[in-house]
Amino acid sequence: MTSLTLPPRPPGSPPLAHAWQTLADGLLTQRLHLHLDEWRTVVAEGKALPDVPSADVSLLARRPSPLPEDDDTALMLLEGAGLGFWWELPQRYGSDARDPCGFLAHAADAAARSILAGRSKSAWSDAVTAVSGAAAWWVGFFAAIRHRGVHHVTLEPRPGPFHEQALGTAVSVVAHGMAMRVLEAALHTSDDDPAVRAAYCRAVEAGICMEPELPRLVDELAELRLVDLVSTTARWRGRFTKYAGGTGAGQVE
Amino acid sequence: MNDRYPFIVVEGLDGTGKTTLRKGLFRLWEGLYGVTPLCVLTTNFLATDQAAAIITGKYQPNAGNHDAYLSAIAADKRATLERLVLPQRSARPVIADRWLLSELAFFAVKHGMKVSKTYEALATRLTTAPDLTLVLDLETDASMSRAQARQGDAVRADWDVHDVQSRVRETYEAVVTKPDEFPLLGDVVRLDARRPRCEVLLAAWDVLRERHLVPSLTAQVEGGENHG
Repeated sequence: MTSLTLPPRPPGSPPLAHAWQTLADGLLTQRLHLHLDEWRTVVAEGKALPDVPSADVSLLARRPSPLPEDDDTALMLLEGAGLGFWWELPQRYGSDARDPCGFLAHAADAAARSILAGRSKSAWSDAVTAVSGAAAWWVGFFAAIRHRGVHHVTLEPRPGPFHEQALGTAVSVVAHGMAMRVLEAALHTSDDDPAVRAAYCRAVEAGICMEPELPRLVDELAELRLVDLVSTTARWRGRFTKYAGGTGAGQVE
Repeated sequence: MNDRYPFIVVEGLDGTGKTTLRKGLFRLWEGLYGVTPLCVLTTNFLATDQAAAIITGKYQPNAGNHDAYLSAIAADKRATLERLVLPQRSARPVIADRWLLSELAFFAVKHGMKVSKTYEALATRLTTAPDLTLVLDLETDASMSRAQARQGDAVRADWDVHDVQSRVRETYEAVVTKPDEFPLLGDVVRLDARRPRCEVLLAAWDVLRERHLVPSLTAQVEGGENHG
């Protein structure tokens, strides 16, 4: 059997990707607060969106399902993964929908089910379900104000119309990316549970299968905030190009 | 103390899922262990003066260029080891999509050369073995069906045919059942590639864990650990 010593990470050199992920998380939080009033106005008006008229704004704004009240271990896992904001802000600002569920929530639920493969009633499975549900809300938030944004390459206003279906794909991509962060946090706590490792492998495989579709999805979404949300959440070769070139600040937010 | 990350090779017939496993291992290392692996191929064209011989020997194999091809891939692998694998292993794992086993099979099938002779010729130039060679095993019909279903021009008319692929698989079988005769393959582990690809990744991950080729996640952050 092979015998080798795995090197320790040099002190003070955390992976750069972690720092870029932290920046991307902060950017999301900034954008939510920056555009919250604008989003509330769009939701309150309830009019058809100019760039995706078929979308029901009230469903885009729907608050995701809460975590189980009798167990805070899932919330602790989310906090440990640095995803407290991801779950909490949709809970705080999401609205009650008239209908029980929208197509974005269905896409989020499908993503969680494909990763969990029937596992439930554990901190990590509850957390995966929670971040997936939140993915629908975050995508819905930026979709609702997309027509007021700019194109992610040209920074020109009013990115063109797009198909509602792209939002469902975006939710699936984002949900898988966030689920991976939850599972990584769970595995860093304990990597002994084969169910968690199997779920992680399912998420990895799904990410690999999705990657070829991402350039087309980014083109379709087009708008800077939606593109940033998807591209910094998915595990793909374009994940941190926003930061890798030395940019990422001073753009239209 | 020789602190280093593992050199891992993924082998298997076309269509068995090598690319998916390589990408999966890459994401596993990068996402979970916080280390970005270097992925290389079986030939990387680092021995510049041998590049033409590699192209000719691979795509127009004949008795006249067979020795030059064997010499060229040995030189290229040596350069890959010296310039990429060995320097990088102090900082990151290296994952090769095919390495020695594929070359043994190529010379057996295309030139009727005994694997022991091919191995002997390569071994004179190479001194470093991978820590692990994962061999994705799948029936030839199934692997060919998968290879033909994928997009792109990865299927080669003179290689991705049943007769050739069956002989390649037989060569793999002959080699992996006698790992002691081929120490430059490192530890050889066969993985059942009939399973869903996420399960193949999980199985490969288990192999890495069992051999202590991945760090402990819970003790990863500081100090490092001794494994072996």
